Amino acid sequence: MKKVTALVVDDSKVMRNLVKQTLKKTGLAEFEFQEAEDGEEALEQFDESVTDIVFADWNMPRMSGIALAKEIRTNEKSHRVPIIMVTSEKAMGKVEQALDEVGANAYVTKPFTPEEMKKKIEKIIASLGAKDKKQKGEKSGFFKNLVS
Amino acid sequence: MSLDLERRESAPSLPTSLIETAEASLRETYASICGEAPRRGGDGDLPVNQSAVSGMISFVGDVDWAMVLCLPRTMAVALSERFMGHAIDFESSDMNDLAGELANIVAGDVKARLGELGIDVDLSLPTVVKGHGVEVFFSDEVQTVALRFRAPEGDFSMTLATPAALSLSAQSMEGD
Repeated sequence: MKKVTALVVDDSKVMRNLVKQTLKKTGLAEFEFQEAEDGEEALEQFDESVTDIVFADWNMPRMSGIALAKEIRTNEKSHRVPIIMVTSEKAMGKVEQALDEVGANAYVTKPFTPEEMKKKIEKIIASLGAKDKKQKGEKSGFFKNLVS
Repeated sequence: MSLDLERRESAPSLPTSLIETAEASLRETYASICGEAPRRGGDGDLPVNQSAVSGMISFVGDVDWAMVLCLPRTMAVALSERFMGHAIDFESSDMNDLAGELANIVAGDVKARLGELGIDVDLSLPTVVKGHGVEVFFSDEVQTVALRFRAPEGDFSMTLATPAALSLSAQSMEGD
């Protein structure tokens, strides 16, 4: 099974554990985890050569998930690392607009199931695969790690 | 010390649409976690001598109000098992996290439903208090309603208050 390193960012330890547990249950990969309590701590943890995918809570003290996504996207080396926002926001129009603005790839709303999480990740894999094929460039780290 | 969710019968009631929206959000969120929506178990105080954990979220925007989700100890532990797949120790800080997160999830659903009605609100980060004899104190000007629910995991309550000027307290209190 492929190894994927996920950076899980949430000010709630319970939610970080739930995300980790849910990812393991998807069966998509053997996940290894980096953890952070807010966006600022996540930026310290984030390493584009190690981090394959980011799961960030929307609302956090100090630096929100949206601000974190913006920061990650401004870095040329990390701009293709997939970011999934984890949110209790259910006003979908607003969520999607915010995701578009910062370049996050997807979102999951709490509470979520392994099946929902799996679908989101598979959709990202398909999207990245299509982009890689179109651009004939180097595959993204996440894509390389998750797809044979 | 009794678990007391104070209700001001003399104060004007909250808008019915707000109460219905909050109740619908709570029932749907609960069902998505536990597979079954809780039943309304009558308004008023929860019974007696229980430790509880409460998560409070304030809504600010077109309507300013607050929501307090109060989970008695046994119910909170049972709910943690349904949400996390394993029981969380009531005394641990993880239980505070959980209560705040559950309140946040319900509030997120409320916000979306209010948005569909053209009412725009933002959410505060959750405030959590845990202890024995948790009470919610309201001033006389505050309009409140306490809704009780009954589920296989236990009884619990949701209190709504407007304007959002309330405070939480408990004996042996521990808060975030």
